[in-house]
Formats: sequence, C-alpha cells, structure tokens
Amino acid sequence: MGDQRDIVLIGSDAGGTMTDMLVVDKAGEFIVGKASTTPRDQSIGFANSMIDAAEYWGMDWQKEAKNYLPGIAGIIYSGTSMLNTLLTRTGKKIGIILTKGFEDSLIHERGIGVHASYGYQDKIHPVSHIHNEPFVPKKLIRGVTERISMFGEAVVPLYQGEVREAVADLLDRGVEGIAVLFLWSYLNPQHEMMAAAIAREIMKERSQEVPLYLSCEIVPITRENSRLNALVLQAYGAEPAREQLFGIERMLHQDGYKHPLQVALADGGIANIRYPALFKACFSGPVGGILGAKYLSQEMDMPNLLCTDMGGTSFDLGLIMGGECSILREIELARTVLNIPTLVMDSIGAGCGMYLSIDPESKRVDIGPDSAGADPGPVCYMMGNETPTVMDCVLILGILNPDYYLGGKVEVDWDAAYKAIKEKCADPLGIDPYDFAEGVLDLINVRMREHIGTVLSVRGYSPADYYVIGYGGAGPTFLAGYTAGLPFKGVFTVPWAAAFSAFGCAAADYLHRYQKSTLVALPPGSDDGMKQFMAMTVSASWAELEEIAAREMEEEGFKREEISFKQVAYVRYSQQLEDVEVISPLPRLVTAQDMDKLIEAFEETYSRKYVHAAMFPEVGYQIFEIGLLATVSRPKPLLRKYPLEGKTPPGEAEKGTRQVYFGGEWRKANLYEMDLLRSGNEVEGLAVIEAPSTTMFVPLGKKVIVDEYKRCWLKEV
Amino acid sequence: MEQKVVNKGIGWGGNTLKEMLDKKKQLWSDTGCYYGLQELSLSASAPFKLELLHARLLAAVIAGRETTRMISAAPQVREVAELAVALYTPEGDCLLQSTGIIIHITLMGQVVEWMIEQGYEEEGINDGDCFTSNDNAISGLHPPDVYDITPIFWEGELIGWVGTVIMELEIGAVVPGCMPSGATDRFSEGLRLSAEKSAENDKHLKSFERRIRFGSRTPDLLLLNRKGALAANVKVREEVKKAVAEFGIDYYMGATRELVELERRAQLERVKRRTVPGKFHSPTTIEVDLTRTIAPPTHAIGRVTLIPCDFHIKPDGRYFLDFDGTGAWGWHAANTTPSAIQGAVSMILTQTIAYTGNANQGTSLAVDMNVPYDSFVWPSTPNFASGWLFSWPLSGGVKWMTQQSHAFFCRGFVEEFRSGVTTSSGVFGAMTGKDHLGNDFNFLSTEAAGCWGGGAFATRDGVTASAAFMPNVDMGSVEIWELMLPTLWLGRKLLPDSCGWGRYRSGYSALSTFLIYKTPLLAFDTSATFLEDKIYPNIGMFGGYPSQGAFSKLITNANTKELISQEKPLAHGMGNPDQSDLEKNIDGDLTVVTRGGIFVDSLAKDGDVYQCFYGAIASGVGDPIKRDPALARKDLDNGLLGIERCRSMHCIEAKYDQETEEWAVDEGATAELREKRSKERLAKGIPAKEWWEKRRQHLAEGRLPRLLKVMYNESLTKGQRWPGEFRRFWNLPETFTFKED
Repeated sequence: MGDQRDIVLIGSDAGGTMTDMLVVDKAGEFIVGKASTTPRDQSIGFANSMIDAAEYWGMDWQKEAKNYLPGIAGIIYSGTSMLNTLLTRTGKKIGIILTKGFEDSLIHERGIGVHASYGYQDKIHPVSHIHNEPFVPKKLIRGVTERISMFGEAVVPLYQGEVREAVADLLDRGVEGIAVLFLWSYLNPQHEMMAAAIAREIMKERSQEVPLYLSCEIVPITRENSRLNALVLQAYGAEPAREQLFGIERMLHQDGYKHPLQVALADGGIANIRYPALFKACFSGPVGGILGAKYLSQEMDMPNLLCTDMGGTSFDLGLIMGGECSILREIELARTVLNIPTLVMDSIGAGCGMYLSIDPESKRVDIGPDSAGADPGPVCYMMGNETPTVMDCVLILGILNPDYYLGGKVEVDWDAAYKAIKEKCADPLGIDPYDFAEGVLDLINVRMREHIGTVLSVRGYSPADYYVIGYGGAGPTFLAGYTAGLPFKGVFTVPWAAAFSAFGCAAADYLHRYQKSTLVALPPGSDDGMKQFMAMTVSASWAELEEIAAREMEEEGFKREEISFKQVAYVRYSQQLEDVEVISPLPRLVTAQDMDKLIEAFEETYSRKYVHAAMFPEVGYQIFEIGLLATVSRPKPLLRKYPLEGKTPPGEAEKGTRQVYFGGEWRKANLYEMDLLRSGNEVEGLAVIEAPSTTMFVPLGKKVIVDEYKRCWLKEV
Repeated sequence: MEQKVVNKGIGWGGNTLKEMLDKKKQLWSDTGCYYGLQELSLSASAPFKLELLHARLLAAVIAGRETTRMISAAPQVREVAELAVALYTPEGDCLLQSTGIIIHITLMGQVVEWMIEQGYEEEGINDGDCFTSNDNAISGLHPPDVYDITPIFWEGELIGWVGTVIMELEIGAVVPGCMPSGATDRFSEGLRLSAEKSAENDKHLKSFERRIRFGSRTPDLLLLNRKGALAANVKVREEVKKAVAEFGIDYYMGATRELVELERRAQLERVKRRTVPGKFHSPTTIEVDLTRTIAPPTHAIGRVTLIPCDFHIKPDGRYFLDFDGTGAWGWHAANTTPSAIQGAVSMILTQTIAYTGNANQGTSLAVDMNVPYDSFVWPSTPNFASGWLFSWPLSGGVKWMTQQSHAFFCRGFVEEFRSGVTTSSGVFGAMTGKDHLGNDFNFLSTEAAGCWGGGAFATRDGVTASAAFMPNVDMGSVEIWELMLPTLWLGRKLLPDSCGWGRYRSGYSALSTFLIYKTPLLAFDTSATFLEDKIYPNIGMFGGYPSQGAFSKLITNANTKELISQEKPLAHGMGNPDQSDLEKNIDGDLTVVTRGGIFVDSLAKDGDVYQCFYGAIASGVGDPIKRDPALARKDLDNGLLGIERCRSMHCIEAKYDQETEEWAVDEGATAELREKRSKERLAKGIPAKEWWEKRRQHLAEGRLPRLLKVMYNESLTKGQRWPGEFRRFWNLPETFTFKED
C-alpha cells in the first residue's frame, strides 16, 4: 500500500510514441507517468502509463486501482486515437452520396492534396508531390442531382429517385455507414435532411440500418473538399476509435470508476466519448498543452500566454489571448486539408529528433526536415541510426545526462553520438564537433525564435504583452535559447512539462462549440434601419444556437444554469475571403449602435492582426457565420501554493557538477534535481536541472527562480 | 566595410544606387564571382552565424506572404495562392523567396534595377515608399501580375528591397479580364503601372488610389490586394531591420552578398553532381491565331514561330541557353522577353534542382543565355502586347525542364526525372456581363491553376494537380468561387482518357461544368492563350504521348429549367465521349471552342450551361504497352480509363465484374495483345536513314504548309548559328530557304 492519496483527476495524452499520464490529488500534487503507446489496444498503454505514474506515490496500481477509481471525479483522454485506424486502413466500409459531378473529389483532392502539410522544400519540389490514397473507393461514391446556391436557394431540387437508387445500391454493397455531403448544405441543410429521410425510409423497408453522417450536422463549415475530408474521417475512422475509447472506459468501470470517460477535442472542448462528432478528437493531443496553458493563464493572471511545445519532430505554438484561444476552421494535417475546428497552432519542423547533415553541394548545414523519431531514434539510442540528430548534439555538449535519460530507464551512448557528429558533419565543415553541436543548437533556436516572432507579428502582437511557457519533452532544454532576445513579460516552465498535454486535458472545461451560417451584409453607407435589422438577424441566430446548446448539454446531465455562453461572430470586409473571429462585446445585438460596437471590435482585432493600412471600411462588412461557446466548469487540478523558502536549493536537490560546452568552451555546470527544488530557490547558470522526463538548461547569464507554484522562471542574472 | 562618402547617394556607405549597381556588374565581369567575392570569409569563419541570419530572413518573407493571403479579397490569392514575396539586395538581386508564383522572383528584382538605371534616386526614394509595377516593357510576365516593391532603409541608407507579387484578375484592358483576347499592343492591355510610386509613409497615395479606381473594372479587389502587399512588405522590412540591429549592418551587407555567391557555387556543384555535360536541342513552336479576334486587320493574322532553344550543360556546371534562330516578334500577346525567360529559368531551377530553400540570384547567375534582339524572344519595341508573355516560359521552358530531366536520368537520378506540363490552349474562363448580385462583372477564373494534370515521372504516374509556374497548386473551393461568380458548378470531374499515355501516364486534368445562374448576360472570353493548338512542344518521353488539349462548350437557350422541373438528367461531366452528356441531355444551341484567344460568339444567360476542360499538355513516360496492368486496373476502377483506350493504348484486356464493381485483368489476352502490337510495330518500322531521306525530300521540295515555311524562313533569315546547323543536318544547300506560295 503506497501513500494515502485522494486522487481526483487523471489526464492522459496518447502520442504517437508515448502515452503520458498526469495524476492529480486533492492537495494539488501531481505525478507523471509514461509508457509506450499501444495503437492496437490503447487501453494497454493507458494502464501501463498509469502503473508507471502510481509508482511515484508508492502505489501498486494493478492491485490498488479499485481503491482509488470510485472517488475520481474525471478521467480525460487525448491523443491520436484515430491515427492507427487511418494508418492501417482499418476503418469502416463507408458509402458516400455527393452532389452529382463531385465524385472525383477524393481522388483529385482539390489539387492541394498533393502537397498539403508539406514543409517549404517539399512544397516547391514537385517530385515530392503525391496523392493520398482515398479511404473510400470510387465505387462506393454516388452522385445525386441537386444544387443549392450561395443564397441557400434550391436551384436544382434534390432528385429523390437518384437518392433512393444510391442508398439501395450502397446498402447492396454492404456499406457500414453512409456519408452525405451537398454543396452549401451548411447554409441550407434541406437537401441533406431529405436525403437522410429517404435513406432511413429505405433502411426501414429493408430492415437494415447503418449510421448516416450528414455534413450539415457534423461539419457545417464552408469549403466542400475540406468538409468532405472531415466527414470521411468521422464516418471511416471515428467508430473504430470510439471502440478503443470504450475499451479504456470498460477497463476503468470494471475497477469502479463511475463516470463516462471524456475526450479532448481539437477545438479545446471536452466531451463524453459518446459525442457524435468524434473526428474532432482525432488529433487532440497537441491541443492539450494549449488547454493547460489556458488554465494557468486564467488561474495565475497571465491573460496573454504563448505556449511553446518542443518534441521530437516539431515545434508547436499556441496563443492564449485574454485567457482565450483562437480557432482555425480549415487545417492542413496528415497531408490532408480538413475542416476540423482546431485551436490555432502554428508548427514548424524543429524537434530534438531531427537529422543533421551537410549538403554536399552547398556545404551548408541541413537540419531536418525528417526526424529519427523514437525508432530508430537518435544515434545515441544505438538502434541502428547512424545519422546524427539534434539530441545527439545536446548529449555531447554535456547538457543531457547520459545516465539519467528518462530517469535512467533508457541507455544512451555518448561515444556513438560524438563519432557520428564528428565524421558526418563537423569534419566535412572543418570545424570542431562541439562547435558544430553548439552551432546546431543556436540555429534550431533561432528558427524557433523566428517562428515565434512570425506567429506574433503576422497577428500584429508584441512579445512584450506575452508570457511564455515551454513544455514538451525538449521544451525546457531549449526554452532559454528560443526565447532569448525577445522581450517577453516572463518565461517559465513547470516540473510537469513533459506531460503538459495530459495536464491540459485534466484542466479543461467542458466546452462545446456551435456555429451557424448566416448572410449578414452591411454595404457601405448602411443606415441605422439596415444595421438594426442585421443586428437582430445575428441575435436570432445566437438565440437559436443557445437553445441547441442548452438542450444538448442538459441531455448530457448538466443544468441550464451551469452553462455559460460566449457569442462569436466571424466578420470580414465585403468581398474578403478570410474572416476574423470576434468575441461579441454584447450577448445580444439589438440596436444599430450595438452592431456598430461589434464592427468596432472587428476593426480593433483586424488592425491589430494586420496593419492599419490594410483596413478597408469603404467596401462595407459581411458576416457569413456566427458561433457560440457553451461552457460548463469542471473540477480541475488544484494549483498548490508552497511557502517560499530561501534562495539556496536544499542539499538534497544538488547533484554535483558536470562539464558543459557553452559559448565555445567547456565550463563547469551545477546540476540539480528539479523535483527537489523548493519554492523560492534560485539556480544561476551555468546549470542543468534534471527531471526524469525532461532537462532544463540554464545558460550563463540566466537564472531560474522557483516561485510559490513551483513554476521555474527564467530570468536575467 | 566600404568607404563611406558623406551626403552623396542614398545607398549603403553613402554610395548612389547606380554606383552600387555599376560596381556589382564590374566586379562580376572582372572576377566571375558575385560582387567579386572570391573568398567567402564570413561563411568560412562562422558558418552558423550566416545560417542564423538566413533563417531569420526566410521566416520574414514567409510571414509576409501569409499576411497578404489573410488580407486579400481575391480568390486567386486566398484560395489559389497566386502570390509570392521576396527580399532583394539594394541592386535588385534576390536573396530569398517565399513559396507561390516564384516565376516573378527574378523579375521584381529587374524592376528595381530598371528604377536605378532610370535615376529614381534623384526623384526621391524614401523610407515608407512603395513602388508598383506591372509594365512588361520594364520587367514582368504579363499585366495582371502586379509588383509592389518597398525599399528598406537603415540609418538613412538603402540596404535592400522587399517585393510582393499578386496576380490580378481584371486589369482594365480593351476587353474585360486580365489576359484580353485581341490585345495586340500595350495600349490595348489596360492599366499600366510603370514602377510608379504608390505609397509614402506606408500609406497609399490618394492619386494612386484614384488611378486604380478609374483604371480597372474591379477596383476594390485591386486596391485590397495592394493593401495586402503593402502590409506584407512593411512586415518584412521591419523584420530585416531587426536582423540588422542584431547582426550589425556591416555583417548584414557582407553576409547577404555571400549568400548569393554561396548559392551560385552550390548551383554549379549540383549540376556537376546530378547531370552529365552535353547539349540538348529543345525547340518550341508558338502558335498565334488572331484571325477571329477584335484585332485590327493589320494584326489579325495567324502565324507559327520557331524558338530553337539549345541547352548546353558545361563541364564546370554552367548552363547555357541559346535562342539563336528564333523567329520574328509580332503584334500579338505571345511574344516573350529576356526578363521573362530569366524568370522562367529561375522558377524551373528552384523547383527542379535548387529546392533547398536557399535559391536566390546566385542560382540564376550560374546560367548564361544568348537571347537575340529584335526577335520573338526580345521585341525591338516597348509597345508590344504581353498578355501571354510567358509563352516560352510555359511551353519552351517546360520542355527545357524536361531536357534537364534527361540529364538527371543519365546520371542515375531517376526519381528526379519528371516530364513537363505546359499550359495548353487554355480556355480559361474569363467572363464579363452581369453577376448574380446584379453588378457589372468581369472576372477570370483561375481554378485551372490547380487542376492541370502533371507530367509523368520515370518511376510513377503524374499527379492530377500541377502548374509549372506555381508548384504549390490549389484549385480552390467551389463554395468560395461561387461567392464571386454567377455560375453554379454542376460538376468538377477528371476527364477520363485525357492523360498523356505511357508506361507511367501523366495526371488527368479536370472538367468543370457550370449552370449559368442569376445573370441575364454573360460573355466568355477564352483569353490570350493560344500556343499549342496544333503543334505540341511537350511530345512525350521515352515513348510516352502528350495528353489531350483543352476545349470548352457552351449551350445557350438551354432547356435546363424544363429538365430540372421534370427531374431529367443534366450534365455533370463528359459521360460518353462519342455523345457527351452535355449534348445528349440538354437541348439548346451548342458552341464548341477548341482554341484560345477568342470570344465565344454566343451570349449566355441564366439556365445556360458552360463546360470547360482545363487540359494542359502533359506527357506520359515510357511505352504505354509496358504499363503495369495493376496500374491500369486502378484507373479503370476509378473511372478514369475507358476499356477501349485500355486496350488500344496499353494492350491490356480487362473485364468488368458487375457484382464487385471492379475490373479484372485478363493476363493471357493482355500478353497476346502486346505481342501482336510489338510485331505490328516491327513490321511498320523503317531504318532511321530511310526516314531521314524521306523527310529531307519533303523539306527540299517545300512540301510543308505555308505557315511553317514562313516560320522556317524567319528563323533561317534571323539566325546566326542555327540556319547552318539546320541546313547541314538536312543536307540542304547553304543558302536554302523555303519558297513561300
């Protein structure tokens, strides 16, 4: 029997390689567990990670789970739950009914499919361009005659006979589900609803039932090809993924857990795993970190917080502004363009696993774009890779402790890393291997720093308004480097940085997003009467969405008074194709002046996002979509405050010294154990602060101050 | 550091821009190295510092491009991404570039050089200015491509430029659209912005805005795009200044020059490692037919022009393109210019051999050219029309790219081998009339930019989305296009059997079908796109064939409303090619257009149907009868390959299983078909010498169409080296020319 702990929350994040677990007790203490992800049956990886975490509190989870699970208030899962289904092409056999004439959409992919989510080099090199193999073969795609226009007018009515024929035909082919997508259905769903009614009728006649997936219900967002890709993801991959989640839930219920398993959605919401549009959860892992940062932002009075997540292959940024995150409605992911509402994340290929080489023709250093991943991993893993990686550089520079990698559970070979760097990179350039390794760190840091600058500047923001949190396995190691020189309000990491996404899942609110198309136009010179009419149009749509949200959340067991709403409008200058998400300053627009206030909010956001010269009020305004955020508060990890102690770390936290190559020479660095540092302690660089799953590097000229929440702030000495 | 001269020029070190430009040219001439940099001391002493600077600057131009995309109102920018951003030295040499329509990168720099030569400095170039240009007599590809160029100052001295290019869809020409049919000189091509000052203090001049307001049929789109471009330029400029503040101006100037020289050397090294030296003949013909346009009678002619480009790969890694023997320029929009050719060279190198992200002026410096003045590739007047100025770039240039593929192949870089895709006889959907909102309407749809089937590779089929001028293609969403156009898409399908056949086929191109919607009047213009109606420059590789060319069809007075009310079939794609769905299902007056450069005679209105096949000439690679039957089967299953073509082109026999809805290949029958075809070929074959003699006889006797005789005579008259080679190859008399009837 281990420590007597009152566990209240568990957050998990199943990544492509590792499943992270964050376990929180009532006092706000956390433990972090890690285990290999088991794609075929994710409940195994989930259980192993939980076992690993529990060990830190001296628990034998396999024996003691029954003692704890009945009292736990929430368990949340995030991760790449559908990825295995997609990679192994083991999804459902789906039929698709489309607007006639669009049957080739999955083969042609709008053209963009041949290079979607590629990096710069592959985008400009057409030899790299290749189509994705569709998840639904052409023979299971049927077109039916119909057309709805941009005004929502049924210009060509639905040819119902063709729908009957298509449904019967697909059912004859043994499809396990039918997806329906017609152009402009998000504006006028009439034809999709009619097709669904016909399909149900036919299924009833045949005593045969398969699920129907309507784009107007599941993905009511413009751009038909991205909508189709998202719909296919739902129809093809969601149910097998849901089965996996049910497997985890069953395992938990067997040991006494009383609530439904919940899942993180890409849009930042949390939902029951029975949530229909489960495709929104398919790539939710990276979002977890932003949710965690959002929670810290709200709880610790840091309204503007930049989230930086550095892992093995990519460097991801998220922005919290005024305690809220922005949403992107069309994303490029896994080589596809998809309508998955996703918290805005900007990624570049900059990870610790990236390969290093010298271009034989230009003699210039290449970092990436490919990464060694977990298998074969960096050279120092000794799993067959002979091409050096960024992590090998970190190792030979002395920053990484070869005897304490992942808490000493993984052995790494310093000599092999050094040899590869020397022979493959440093010698061809004619420079010292340590200088090379330090140069690589500088270069990757500058790429990340520039990425941060770009993300902020494209939106018109200044670093001076932002705090930065660094997390991910490699985040704390590079945090000082990639934030150097940018005048942020503050830069910090947390001891649980390596499982921050899991933490974010545990810290998120129960949130659903709703959206609805609308046709609101304010031409130049619109009078008050016109503005008032449009204001009322917007308000009526919000009222409608609030009704839907309240009904759905009540069905999920919440009381209406627990739900809070935020009204959103997507505003653009007339004729623009990109709109701006604006949180309405008022819950309802009633008068012309109310509409003016919304427009003012739009112009304020717009001019901040771009430049003042880009404003163009002369052409008027349009709103084609409005949205609603419906939130119910959930129990969250308590952020425990510790009494501040002295600046000097306790003796038990000190781990001696190690030589670290920094600034072109070997220097003595002090070593500390992160978990044993106390609030109030200060660690001056050159220092390395080690934790089982991450390493924080403190360069010369910097120091780390541990505050009362155990945040590790990087400051100038 | 260079010596500073107080109160002289606005360039770095107090030099005038002209002095800097002259010095650069002189040093290049003296040393063969960019800015005379024989030693690369900065990169040798601190290679990572240079990379750090480069990373910062590249991030800046990428951010600039995204900014423009966000602000733009135009679907070709937001949806199709027809834009690009680049950073330049004070002399106008490109340092680095974003993705997008990268053909313009070199050309924007040439505008800067022209401004310097013209003495703009004396008229005033200040921090916060922007200069706008779409004048092809200066530099550029055609009038719709508008360049916005902003100087970058550091402590009062000009240290560089940033440029953004956006393709506009309406440019105020003699007829609506941006590549007007019938334009025969610059005066009929609309708004001309000749590197004029458009903004001061980062704000557009009212006078400039008025020019735009009265100079285009869609001024709001044009202005909003200028705002997007200006915003991008300002962002990049500020990022550059931050980098200079950090690295120091001396380092910045030295490093930027080294980046160009490093890339020049890298390009030579790439060529030496990946190709074999030698010479490739890469002739192209450009067809121009103005006999059915609004052109004045003096210009309303049909002609074919030969551009016999020879491509040399030198042992030291230099490329040499020789255009000797090119025919005459003319009063039509398809002439080209040395700057357009340089743009094409830079564009093609960037996507075929220099795709590392480091491509800049240095890449192009490794290429020499002979471009004869007073010819099709260099008109002797600034008044020439330029709507289709990328005639050679997108036809001959693509063929040149394919020749480069040969060189990769010979060296063993088989995977890098790609046959080209040229834009065909176009049939872009330029429209004019009233839109679905009741407004006057003029537009050119560029959805085609994402749906040209691409050329085949040596190891796999081509993709269904490729454009030579813009590698990151995107067709855009119908639900976005329909916001702008009075048309409802009845279909966007790939046209079966439209590929270039081969062991590996080219990609299929798309066919869009439109129901004309809520407009009483709509006219279609196939634009100034008239290059390859009869003679394909892109003829197929290693036994492959070129793909099908473009066409469009319009049915006016269509009975669609009646059909719809009775739930009868409409047309959504081709259907049976022998009698297409359009013709079978819809009654009305049919007009078929198989060539560009004309207005469609009939006017359309609500309920009519227009169909457009965006065919580009992409070629297959390898003998079609060696195609893997499994690949053919996949195309059959996807409805892209008809069984008749499968048999005739690939000699593959297959049967359709109604139950499984799949095709099954009959291996025995396939083997028989293939053996039979091989024997037929052998029986038809003749020795090369015999073929040569027959062809020679034809030439000697002048048995050619008149157009071709005129074409050859122009080249024989104008060329210096080429005429001798031509006559020697065909063993013709030394003074041989064709007798024109």
